[in-house]
Amino acid sequence: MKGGLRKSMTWLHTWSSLIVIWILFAIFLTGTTSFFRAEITHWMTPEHHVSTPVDQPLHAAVEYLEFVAPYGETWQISLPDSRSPVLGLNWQAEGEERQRRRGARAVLDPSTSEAIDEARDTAGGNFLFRFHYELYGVPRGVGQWIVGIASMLMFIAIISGIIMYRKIFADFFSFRPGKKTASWVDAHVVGSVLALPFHVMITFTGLFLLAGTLLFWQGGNERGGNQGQGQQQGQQQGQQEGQRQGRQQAGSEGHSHENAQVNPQRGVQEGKGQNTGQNTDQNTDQNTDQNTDQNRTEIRAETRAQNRTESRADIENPRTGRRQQQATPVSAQREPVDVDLDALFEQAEALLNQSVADITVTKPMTDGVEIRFRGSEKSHLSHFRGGIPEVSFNADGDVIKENYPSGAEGAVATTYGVLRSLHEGHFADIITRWLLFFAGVLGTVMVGSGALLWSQKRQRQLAGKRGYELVSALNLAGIAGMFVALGAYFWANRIIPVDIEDRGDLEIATFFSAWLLCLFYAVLFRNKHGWLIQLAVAGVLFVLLPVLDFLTSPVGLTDAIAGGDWVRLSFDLIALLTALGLWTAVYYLFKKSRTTNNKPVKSRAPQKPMKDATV
Amino acid sequence: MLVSSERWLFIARVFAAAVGGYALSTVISLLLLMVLDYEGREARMFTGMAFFLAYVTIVIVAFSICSHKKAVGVLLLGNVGLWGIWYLVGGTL
Repeated sequence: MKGGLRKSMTWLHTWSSLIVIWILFAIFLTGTTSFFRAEITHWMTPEHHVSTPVDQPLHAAVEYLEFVAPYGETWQISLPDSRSPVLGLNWQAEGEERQRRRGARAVLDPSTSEAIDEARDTAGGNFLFRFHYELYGVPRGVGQWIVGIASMLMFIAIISGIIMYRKIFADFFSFRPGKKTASWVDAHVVGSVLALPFHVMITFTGLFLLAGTLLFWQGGNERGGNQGQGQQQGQQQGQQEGQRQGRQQAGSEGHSHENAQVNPQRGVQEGKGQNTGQNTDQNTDQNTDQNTDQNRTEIRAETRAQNRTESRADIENPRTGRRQQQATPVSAQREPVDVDLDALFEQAEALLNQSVADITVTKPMTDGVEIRFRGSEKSHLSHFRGGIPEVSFNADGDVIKENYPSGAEGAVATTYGVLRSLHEGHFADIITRWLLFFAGVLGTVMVGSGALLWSQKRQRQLAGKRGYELVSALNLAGIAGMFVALGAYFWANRIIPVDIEDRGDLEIATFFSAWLLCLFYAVLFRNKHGWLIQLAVAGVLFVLLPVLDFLTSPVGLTDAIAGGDWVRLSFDLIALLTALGLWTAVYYLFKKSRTTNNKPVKSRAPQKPMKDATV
Repeated sequence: MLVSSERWLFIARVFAAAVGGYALSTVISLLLLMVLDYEGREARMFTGMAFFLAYVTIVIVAFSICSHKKAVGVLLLGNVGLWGIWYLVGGTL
């Protein structure tokens, strides 16, 4: 590397990124979409679009479970949240053997308490999520090695890229449109610098999440060298994410619920207001962690006595008679023990200091009932150790088990936990999630513009040579083809018949078939308006996605707006924005091709590379 | 011939940076771990983070040295020296 530090770093930056740039583009694009994987799965399960949020979704779940599994072994309820509006239910009926199953057994629309039947089998956002860290169609370990090596090269490229730019921040403010190579340099710099901390963070954290695979001398661990805390955390996160995904995937086994009478105005509701009003006020005040334990103790003490009285009184509530009638098919002669779930729910939220995400009821409707409330995914970056907070009550409303992860741990574990949370984005509220998404988009722009910059800069000198043509074909298939594949994947979700077997696999097959087709086209016809055609195809696919959505979803546009299904509407909006970007590119390419056709042919003598174009 | 020798030296540098850098980052992580005395879960987390920081630094340094021979030599000596220290202080993999 003669010629000084900058030159050697330029070389390192160029080649370390170029050899894996198409994989990196796919990783960045699918990884960026993974920030919204639950939302993508919701869009890809139109049967769930009928579901609308309600204030008390728990009622619908309990009514349903009392009907299908009275006196069951367990009930599990996954509550709707901002990322998924449906109720996911699992249960083990009385005497039934425990089933190992992924996802929910029934999915309910909380607004109607009706089971959503026949939800399609879809690969959903999960396919894109898994693809971004272990690819597809190769053994998991091999996929993780490939992604790990690509990420390491990306990390080297980012650091060497920072070193090679003498005026990295000054260049950030310059944009030279219509200057070919210089324009691509500027686009690359903007994409890189605008979200530079994000790029460094996401690459570094992605690497140590794969440390268990890459650092084989560590003793071997599938994910992240984190057998203790990380594994526990991973399981819990996976469980929660799985429940959310499951809620969206289930439905075909859902039971009709015509006989269950839903009464949202449950008798205990009035009691709940008095019972927990105090708690809620207290909870509002307890904004700091220091006060949390003290507050929890007070909350417990004040509500315990009331709960006891109310839950016992509730047994004699006339509502119980109705419930017995519902339970008639299995257990007509038994007296159900009624527990004031609403009050416990409020109390649990106060104790957990966050919203409840899911509830497990062991031995429901009996004296030995145990109700466990688990918090939602971590709401703070530092909440890592000890997993997700949870609290369990008995029939009397006494707290019998509790776990409130403090997040207080050693410097290494805290640093690791924070960085890991940053990568996975579980902590993120909706605004932070969007910020992470747009930073991911900038990362995708950075990688894509870097790939194009390489070939743009060498076009005059290397055009026609094998290496250059290979890079050109891979650029076309890797960037434009990736958008075509993604668009085709979403289209397949709505076009493949619902009742076909292995539907999810067919969606994935469509994704790769479209990508492969783009690669063939790029190899054979890349010089015949290859970019123009592939981007236009992707543009058509994306611009028509919202139309397809409203044609194939049971809920129309106005109903979706009225029902507040912003998850689905946001997907459609992003599809339109993607289409806008694609069509802008098509417009410029079309304009350029017309200008080129009108110009006299110049000699193809090699030109000196531009001074400013340092990549 | 000169070009060919230059090419081999260049390949040696890339190989040294990739493989030698991996080995050197490993031993640096292990030595740091020994000094800082982390155990179990924290040890795995620490090495996971330290390794990648060390690796990227070593690769950058390996390519910032002017001469191929010098770069390969630095990595070779670094590995021999640090792995020697590691085994001398009783470290095992």
